[in-house]
Amino acid sequence: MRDPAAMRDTAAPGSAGGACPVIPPGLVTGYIRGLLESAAAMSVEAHLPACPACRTVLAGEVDQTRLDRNRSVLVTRLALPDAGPAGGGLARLAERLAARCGVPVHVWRLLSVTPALRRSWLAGVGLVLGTAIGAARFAGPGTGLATAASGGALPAGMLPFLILAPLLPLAGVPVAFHPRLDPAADLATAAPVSGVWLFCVRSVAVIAAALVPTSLAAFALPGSGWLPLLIVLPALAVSAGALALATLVRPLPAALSAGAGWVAAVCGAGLLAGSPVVAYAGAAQAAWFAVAVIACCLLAVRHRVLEFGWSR
Amino acid sequence: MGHGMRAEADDAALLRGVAAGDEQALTFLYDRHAAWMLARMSRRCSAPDIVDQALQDTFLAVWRQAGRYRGEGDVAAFIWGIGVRRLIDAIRRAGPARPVVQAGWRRAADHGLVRSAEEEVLLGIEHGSLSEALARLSPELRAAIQATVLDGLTCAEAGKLLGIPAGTVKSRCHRARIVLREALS
Repeated sequence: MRDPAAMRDTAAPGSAGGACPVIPPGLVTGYIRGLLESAAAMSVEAHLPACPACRTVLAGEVDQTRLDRNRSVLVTRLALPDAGPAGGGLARLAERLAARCGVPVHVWRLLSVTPALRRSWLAGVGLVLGTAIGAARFAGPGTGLATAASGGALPAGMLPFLILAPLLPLAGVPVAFHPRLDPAADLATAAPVSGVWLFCVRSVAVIAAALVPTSLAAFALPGSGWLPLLIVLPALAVSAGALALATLVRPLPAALSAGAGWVAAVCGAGLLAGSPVVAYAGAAQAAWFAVAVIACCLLAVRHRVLEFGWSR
Repeated sequence: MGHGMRAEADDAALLRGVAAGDEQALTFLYDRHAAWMLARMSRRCSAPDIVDQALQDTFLAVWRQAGRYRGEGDVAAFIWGIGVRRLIDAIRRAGPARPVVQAGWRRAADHGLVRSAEEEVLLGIEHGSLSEALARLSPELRAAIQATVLDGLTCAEAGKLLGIPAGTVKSRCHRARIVLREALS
């Protein structure tokens, strides 16, 4: 039986630049298009490992975008910590659970190295929340938020929490998408990246990681009423706005201006309407919803900028 | 060796660079070999996501196992040896619910047989009787021959892939050899 070894001998070792003396290019293109019967296809396959020239012909027929995408995922996976024996039992358990829920292992690892999702970052969020809540409780019960919104006096010490609440999720955005702070992002910038879904997973994870604890913490406020839920829309609007802005300017200025916009809104509500709580009230909620929708539309159109180079 | 590897370096030098921890050497190897690996894997598995996963797994494994290359044989064959096993693993991980093995490994009959006159002549010259002999094999025997001879799997690995015991693979290969020998003599 004439086998791969025999064909290998006939392929000149230095044939990388020129045409292959054994197999015409037509046969190789026929192979990749699935037009060959099995004996011919097997011959091409046996020949390929030994022949750079035929491999080059074949490479021209393969979907280059697909290769690039796999290349960038590969580079990212190379940079990620190996969850082999080195990873703790808890980390491996979490990874297995995530895999059960349909999250691919490399996506999970990418999330787990996102700075805004690291334990130290989450501890920082907790500390800020604790301080704000502590300040509010220390200042005493006062009137509830509901009465404050309808013109009553704002409980003293409540102001820091009201201003901070939507800023905490926002703070995670530039940290997650700033190339200098995130090694995985830096590597992914080197090649065309990863797909919309990876970007979405990352943003949602980063925002939720701060928004959920903030919202839960709001229950601890004296007379909180509906505040834990009222936080959600402004926070989403501010964070989505920052992401949308990040498609136009760099992530850090984008987050800073979104944050400034929020502070201005709260102060404006305090000055014009008499109480900063108005920024959370009915009409304002509708406005925040509108902002969030506009930001998401902008993201839907321009997400590619973030996806293909988070530094731009 | 190590760093500053150039894109023109030959495969063996790149592989030594990878063994020494040079990440750029791995990306050069990827750029040179990913395309044909993708094509060859796609002939064996119809699910693009599984093939993508296997392709990445392959080069991650090359990254970790480059030191195992002894300098014998083509680097491309070494990479395929890793790749075909990563592909089997990826298919197995996808579970029995997804019947994705196809073409070379399991396809019962050839379809869309289109050959140009040029190819006919070439096949006649190069493989004449071999081509006919292979065509005479039953699909089961051909799959066994392909998995063992062409893809370089052991009988046990081929058996897992084809869903038959290793001993059956061995006997099918034996029968296939007899048929081929008769056809070629």
